[in-house]
Amino acid sequence: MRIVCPHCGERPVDEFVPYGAAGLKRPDASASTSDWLDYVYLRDNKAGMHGELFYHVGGCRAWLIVTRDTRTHAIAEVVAARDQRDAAR
Amino acid sequence: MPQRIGRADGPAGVTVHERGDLSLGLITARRGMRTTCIDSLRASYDLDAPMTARIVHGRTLSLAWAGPETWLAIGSARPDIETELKAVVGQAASIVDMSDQRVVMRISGPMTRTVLAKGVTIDLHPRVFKPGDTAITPLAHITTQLWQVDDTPTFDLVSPHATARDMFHWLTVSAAEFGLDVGRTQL
Repeated sequence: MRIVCPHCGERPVDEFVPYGAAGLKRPDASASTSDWLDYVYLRDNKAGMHGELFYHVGGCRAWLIVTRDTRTHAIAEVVAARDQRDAAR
Repeated sequence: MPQRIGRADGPAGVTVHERGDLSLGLITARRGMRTTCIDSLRASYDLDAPMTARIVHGRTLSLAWAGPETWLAIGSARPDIETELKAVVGQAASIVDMSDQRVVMRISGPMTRTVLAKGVTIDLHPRVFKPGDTAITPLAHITTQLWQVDDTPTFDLVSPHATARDMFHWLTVSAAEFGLDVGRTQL
């Protein structure tokens, strides 16, 4: 599997460390236990397009959001997490 | 006289020496201050800090892209590159003196690409990787920054100090079949 890093170009997956689902919204401190349970433990396990955080530890050391199809592992998009955050602001 | 490792006859396929006379500084632009940082570097060094994986050379300093909005400043030895760079960029970037944290090895010679191909996964073919191009990638499992210096070809390899001996050992093993001339080095 190869990931096309937006900064470094095409690199083998072993240069990257996967972190888990991207785009989770941290609940407010006063949120209910079930909201926190959902945030910390419960994942959707989607069959289809899924965004995940990857850290490019063997390269530019940037956090990336990799969107792939969990059924085929085909990668649809790779963006720098900071760019997505800045775009959302 | 350089020391020969590996094949003893004929000219060396690869030569290596440590560039021990350098000062290195890591420049990381603070959030939203990229333009200010680039402008102050340009004003002081007449260099455009590269936004892609390139290295640019000025009269007294070189700037290598080292990640998004991050640059490695390379200069000949000076008393205090950290204070110097802080005075240049002010609050626009954080500066770390890397002079004692990184070791720079210069390797050159006709078999350089063949040897590097044993350690990296990226393509260094002259069609895609040219003088002035840089990359950060594992070399023999050590995260390394490298850049091409000229078409000899010559490359600079930047290893963390702690793993520089391992990288040098990898080089001696990988280049032995072509003959490796080791110039001045403390490794």
